[in-house]
Amino acid sequence: MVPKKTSPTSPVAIRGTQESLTMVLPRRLMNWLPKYGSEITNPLLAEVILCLEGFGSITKVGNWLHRITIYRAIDRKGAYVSDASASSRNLGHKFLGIAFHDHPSVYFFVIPLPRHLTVLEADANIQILMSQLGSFKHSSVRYFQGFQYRLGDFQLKVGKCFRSAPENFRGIVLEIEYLPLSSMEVCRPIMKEFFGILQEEFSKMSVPGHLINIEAHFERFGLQDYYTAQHTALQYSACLFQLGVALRGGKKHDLIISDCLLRRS
Amino acid sequence: MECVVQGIIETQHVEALQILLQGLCGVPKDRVRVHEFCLKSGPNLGVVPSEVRLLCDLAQPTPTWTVRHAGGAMRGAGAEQLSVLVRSVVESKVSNNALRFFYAVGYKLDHELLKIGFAFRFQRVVPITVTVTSANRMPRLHAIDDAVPLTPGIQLVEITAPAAGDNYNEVAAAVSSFCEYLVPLLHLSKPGVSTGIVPTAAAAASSLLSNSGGKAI
Repeated sequence: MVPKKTSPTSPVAIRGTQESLTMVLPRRLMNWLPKYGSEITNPLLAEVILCLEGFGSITKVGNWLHRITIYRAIDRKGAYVSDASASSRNLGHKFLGIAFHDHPSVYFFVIPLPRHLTVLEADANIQILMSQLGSFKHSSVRYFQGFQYRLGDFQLKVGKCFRSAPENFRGIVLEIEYLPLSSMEVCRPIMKEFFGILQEEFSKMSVPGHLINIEAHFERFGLQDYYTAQHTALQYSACLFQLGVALRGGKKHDLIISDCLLRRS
Repeated sequence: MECVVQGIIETQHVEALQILLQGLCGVPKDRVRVHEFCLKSGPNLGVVPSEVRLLCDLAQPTPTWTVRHAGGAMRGAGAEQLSVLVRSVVESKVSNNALRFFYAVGYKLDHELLKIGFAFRFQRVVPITVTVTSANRMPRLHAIDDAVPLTPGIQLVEITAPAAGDNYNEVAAAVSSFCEYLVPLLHLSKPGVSTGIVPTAAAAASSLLSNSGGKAI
């Protein structure tokens, strides 16, 4: 029996204290690491989906699309503020704006830079405010898109991460949401067990590669054990940089950012 | 977008204004206690200098935070003829770490105020809000308990109403029409156009207080 979600996101239910932030149920994000030498491709994604749909009681419940916008500070001439200039001015010049498909009334900003680690939650119209300020520009947008399933007490999202066109995607992601509980600590062993079952199933079906957990540094960003949508925002930010580093072989600045976001096991 | 007018009133006449507003609006007043942070963009950030205000509403059991950006006023012959200012405004509720966020992305604290007073929110053709507040400055950073009046003996009255591109004339007319009821006590005009206190205020206040038995409902 799947209990009802108790607290859908309310545009006015956030802020003030940690307790009043948008409460959602714990989610765990992971991405697919292909076998050494192989690549992330559409047939691989199809295999992952096929394997997932093979679970007896799984039901497809819809589509999903999350959007992550990379914001960069600009100077008086409209040019991007450089890393060196930002560093000398102690400026958080690169940050992420995150819009979730299932929380359309809220928006998140994540600053993943040392000395500035912050997750801000706001009404969705803050995007208009930020564009009116004229201090920041969108440098690029990343999308996470796919299908959503229900399996017992779990809700699953599987999909791909891409920059401009869905066919040029850079990663496969899987999000697991556990519906009955809101404490991450209590959910952890349950999620771990479910993760193990999934991993085993993928292995049985000989899908090349395996899932790896996105372990975000929640505590560095001041997030507590009670799971909120801010935790999800941080996991997607971490995932983005994990995929980015994997793809480009790790630029120095990206590595600094991913170190801020990702907990290494 | 919003229509706005402002005026000032001596503190000694605020009680009379409250009685008048209560009678006109027919709604109970809301307490206003807002810690306002005015933030300005740092040097060489953005194509033009910009300003945002962070408002922490301390009148709520749990303080709530809002970020507000007021854009430029509407210009042109049509706007000149209106007795209210029409400007673009965006407000967004934010989490309580908004100050940290804006500092991080390059905004600096220009000044902070503690605004204390009351507000009436009511419908008169359009939704209208009248706020009457005293502005208080802090001798030390964020020390709201030590705040002292910025303009002793004078309070700010502001009337605002949300508007859109296709109805601002109607909203401006509703606001102007409401302002006329307050004329004996204060004169309201576009922000930045100072009209001072009105000479009839003392007599009008006295009359209002005697008619109501000197008590705001």
